[in-house]
Amino acid sequence: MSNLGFLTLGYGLIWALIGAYVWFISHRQAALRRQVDQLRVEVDEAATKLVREQ
Amino acid sequence: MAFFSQAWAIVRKDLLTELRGASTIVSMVLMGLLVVLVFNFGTEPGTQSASLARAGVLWAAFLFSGVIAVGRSFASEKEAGCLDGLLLCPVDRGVIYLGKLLGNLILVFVTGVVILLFFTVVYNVEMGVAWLQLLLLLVLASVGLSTLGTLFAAVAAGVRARDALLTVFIFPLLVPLVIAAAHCSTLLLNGKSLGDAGLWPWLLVVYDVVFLAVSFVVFDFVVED
Amino acid sequence: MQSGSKRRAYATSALVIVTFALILFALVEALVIAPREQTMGDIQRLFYFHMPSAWIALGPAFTVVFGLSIAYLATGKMVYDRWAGASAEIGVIFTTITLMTGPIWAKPIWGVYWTWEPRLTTTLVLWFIYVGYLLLRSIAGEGPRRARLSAVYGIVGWIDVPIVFLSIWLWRTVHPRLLTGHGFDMDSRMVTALMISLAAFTLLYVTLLVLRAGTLDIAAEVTALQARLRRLDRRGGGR
Repeated sequence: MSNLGFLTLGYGLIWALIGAYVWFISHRQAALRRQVDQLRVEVDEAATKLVREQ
Repeated sequence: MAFFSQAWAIVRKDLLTELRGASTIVSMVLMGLLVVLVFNFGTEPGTQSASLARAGVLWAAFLFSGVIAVGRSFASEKEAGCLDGLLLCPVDRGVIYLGKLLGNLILVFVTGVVILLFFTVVYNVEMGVAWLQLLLLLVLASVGLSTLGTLFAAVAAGVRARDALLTVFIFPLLVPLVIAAAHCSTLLLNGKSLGDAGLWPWLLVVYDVVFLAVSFVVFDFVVED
Repeated sequence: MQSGSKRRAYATSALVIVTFALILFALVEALVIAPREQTMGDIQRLFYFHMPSAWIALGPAFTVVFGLSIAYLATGKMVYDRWAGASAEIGVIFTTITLMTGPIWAKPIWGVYWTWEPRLTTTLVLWFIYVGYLLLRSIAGEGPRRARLSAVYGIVGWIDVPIVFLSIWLWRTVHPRLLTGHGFDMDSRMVTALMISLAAFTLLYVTLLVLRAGTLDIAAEVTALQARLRRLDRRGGGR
């Protein structure tokens, strides 16, 4: 491998790792956001139901 | 002082339990001797590196066998539910730590002596070697191992795959201890004395003192429940 | 959404953009503007990112874990534990990057992948310690118990690192012939490139920390909402 090859490998690795982590974070973030929104709706429903019953 | 007599009560209880079954110390000693044996087959006899590798073997054996002891320190309690009982006693958490620490220290040191004896026979160590200093070295190393070992045994106590995990946690932290101990033991086994070892014994002392202090402080948080 | 979290979202986006820009700038500096090293050639350019990674790993990342661990044990607030966990993850990533790029640039230049010199070896031990930290977190379940155990580990581990470095350094002075040097002369343009990369990576660390801790905060909110939902359901007699 030429020196440039090593260089590409090195840089590629760095940014691949960082990129993968960023992707992982954003994926998690999106999924969790969806969950939170869904849960907020459900909590509201359950709370109003409770109020109506009382 | 109530503190020490309480701690000693724990030590006595653990050692008596141990003496009855003797399973821990037997597996420790066997493990240590086996490590020496296996490593011996891994190194080419008569090569330059044999001398450096030898110290490594001694301490690898010591570490692996020591982790066994330390891993068991809270195991039997967790199983029999005794840990909660122990915690209900109006004792300082530090007493529990000290008691477990001393128990482990004794087991680790005794095993270390046996491993050292085996090692000297198998590697034909000269008689003129500074034995007392070797024992002192062993004490220092045992303290270092037992200190962090007991703390992390408590950390890993309730957790799956405890023994493997314990090794994974403790080994990186023990690196300075291994380096210092290996260095000193190489010198001692070659007929020199600790005085020739420069800063290394002091590094061990500092290591022991620092982690003893930190572990005492931090142990309370580990067994809180 | 409340205005507080809207502001937070804007601030985070701004942070991300600035970081991205700085990284781009650093890349240009490292790959184009900085001069070519005479003896080593272009591979030396890897250093502009290898060294800052090492700096982040050995410096802020795990020191933050240490500080937050103490803060958690002192206050019991879970937010400290979450941020400590995030910082440790990022620290492990940068340590991994350091350990991987080190051999990549060492081999063409010095002919060896690895030497047992203090900084490199300490970085390796560091990797084991904090991977252990993450392992503990993944196995210990969730909640205050995990937080306590991780905090203990975070404190002990961090104290150990300087001792590890010292012992390896002492060891090295006794066995010098086994080890090679890692230095080279840098002219001012190289220093500039290095400084910019250092700044870029520090900012990157902060950004990643904020982003990651953000997801953990949302996850905590999820758990809280789920608990609330269960309580409401029980009182309402099911749906």
